[in-house]
Amino acid sequence: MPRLTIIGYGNPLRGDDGLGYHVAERLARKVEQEGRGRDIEVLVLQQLTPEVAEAVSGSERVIFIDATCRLPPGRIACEEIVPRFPRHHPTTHHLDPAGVLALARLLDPGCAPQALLLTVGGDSFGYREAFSATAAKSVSAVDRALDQWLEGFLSP
Amino acid sequence: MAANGPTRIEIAPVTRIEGHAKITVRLDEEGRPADARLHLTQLRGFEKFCEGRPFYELPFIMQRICGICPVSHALASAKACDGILAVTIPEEGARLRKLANLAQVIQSHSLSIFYLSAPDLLLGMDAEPATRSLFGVAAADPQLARDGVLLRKLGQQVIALLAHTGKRVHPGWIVPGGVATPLTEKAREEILALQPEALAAIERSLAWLKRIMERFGPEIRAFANFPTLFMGIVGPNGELEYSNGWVRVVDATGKIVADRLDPARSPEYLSEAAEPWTYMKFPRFRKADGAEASSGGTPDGIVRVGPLARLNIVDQVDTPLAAQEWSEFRALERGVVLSSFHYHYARMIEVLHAIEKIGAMLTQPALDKRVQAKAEPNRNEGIGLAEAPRGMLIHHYKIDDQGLVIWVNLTIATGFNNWAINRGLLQAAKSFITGPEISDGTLNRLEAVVRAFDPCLSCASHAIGQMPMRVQLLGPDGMVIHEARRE
Repeated sequence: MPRLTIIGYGNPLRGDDGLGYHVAERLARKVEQEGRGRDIEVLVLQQLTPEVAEAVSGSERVIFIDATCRLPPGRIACEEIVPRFPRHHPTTHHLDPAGVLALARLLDPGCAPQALLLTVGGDSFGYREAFSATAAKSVSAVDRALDQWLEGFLSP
Repeated sequence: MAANGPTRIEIAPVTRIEGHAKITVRLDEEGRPADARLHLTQLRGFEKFCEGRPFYELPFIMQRICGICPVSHALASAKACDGILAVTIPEEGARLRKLANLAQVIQSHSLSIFYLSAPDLLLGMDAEPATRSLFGVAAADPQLARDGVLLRKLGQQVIALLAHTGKRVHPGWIVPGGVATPLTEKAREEILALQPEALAAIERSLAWLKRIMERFGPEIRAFANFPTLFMGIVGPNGELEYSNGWVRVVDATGKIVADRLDPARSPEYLSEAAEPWTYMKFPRFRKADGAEASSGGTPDGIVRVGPLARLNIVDQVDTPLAAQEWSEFRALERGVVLSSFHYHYARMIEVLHAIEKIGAMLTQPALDKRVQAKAEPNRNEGIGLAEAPRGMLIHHYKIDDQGLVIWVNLTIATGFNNWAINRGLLQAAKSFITGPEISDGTLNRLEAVVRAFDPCLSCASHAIGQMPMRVQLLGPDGMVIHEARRE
């Protein structure tokens, strides 16, 4: 079971909303090229569904990466996530990171990964595949920060 | 209830289904259910906006109709394009398409069973609404929830491995003439390695379902339990089949009324009707003489499709464990199984079959790399038929001499079940609405009738926008007197 699970999610057809998706896509290629698949699992998703709970349940650490309209464009934030049941009737199509963790704990009571949510403020969420200029800069910054952090996490 | 009492119930949105709908129940002067309807209120318009597109784009566009059964749409669409190309697709291409469709049966049925219906089946129809979700299932029976999540994930994993695009939902790999790429040995081994865990999960789940079924006597009796025709495709030896075969129709006694019908000639034996109160069509079966075939109790030509129908029409199930389960299933009733409650049971048997069948099909390591026949259009029309998880699905296209689409007609599994769903709602309303007070459990039972069919309303109605549904109770004058809504 990989020690670290990285989950980037969003809609790559909706401009900056695809930010997490693209960050994870690049990381998945890097992990594969460097043969680190035993330690790191990268999920590239459009949304968080119940199956993600199964994937995170065996990890020591989980990082969710998502775009947000709640932060100013280009701003990057990182917060710790704890399990929390969905406030509204949970659907099968979409959960938030806290809901994923709550479901993972129900499925496996011993599951207690440390979880972080990395969010990046988006500027444009319309129908387009390209990022806004602000988001594109943020993606590069997130890529560099994650690469650096991964080196630290994986070094003995 | 009488003159001053409630006269119409509306349930909207209907929850835990794929798509958006509402239910209305109209009451008579005495306050008894007189009619019930499932309304699909929105239109998506795939048939129209595909006009003018190059035909070879359609498998990629059409699979976007649905995030649950995209493989079936891609398959039916690609088969319609095969007809336009007038090619025979390579054996390995056909085999890989079939494997993908089986994997989709696993993931789609698992979603229906474990995520959408298990809350009712495990916790009961009258359980506190807030608990009726996968979270409630996981809290009450973690093993059952784990098995459901695992099976859904495995089905999606197999699709991603077959297509090796990494995409679990819209892999874009089933193309006109076959599939885009052959299966790799690594993927074959990885898929085979998933088998033992998947088999253990579905066998545990089947044992659970059989244990709890006896609690649902009233629902078994009242959930669309009446005679209809049953229709689907069967393999060359009358076996359970989802991708390639002939269409067979049996009546409510189990008698075959039509067999070895060519899918490419389906317009000759199917008719479609529309009603002003729903965007979902009402397809029917008609015999060679044009008359609609009698089902032995319901209006002529009314069919049911999907897991219940498939297990009712086949002569055999060609994998050992599923064959044993199928024998038990068929022993539920004499002749064919009529209660739509048993769609759940049939669905689980199909998951078991799909897992076994994928394993059996992948035992051969030698894989042909020729997977796609290429040609220019050689016809101006093509019809593709596949079994989607919910039943028979037909894509019918016409193109001009430049290869641009000029006409599209989609006949969707849930549409075939439309009449039975509506009549099943009335049957359940008559059974469970017995007085002026309508409990949440009663409303949930009406929704559960719809859920038993696992309708894919996004596919069937071509709807866009809101998803879930409402139940309305209407008076004889059509006024809403009770409405339940869940957002």
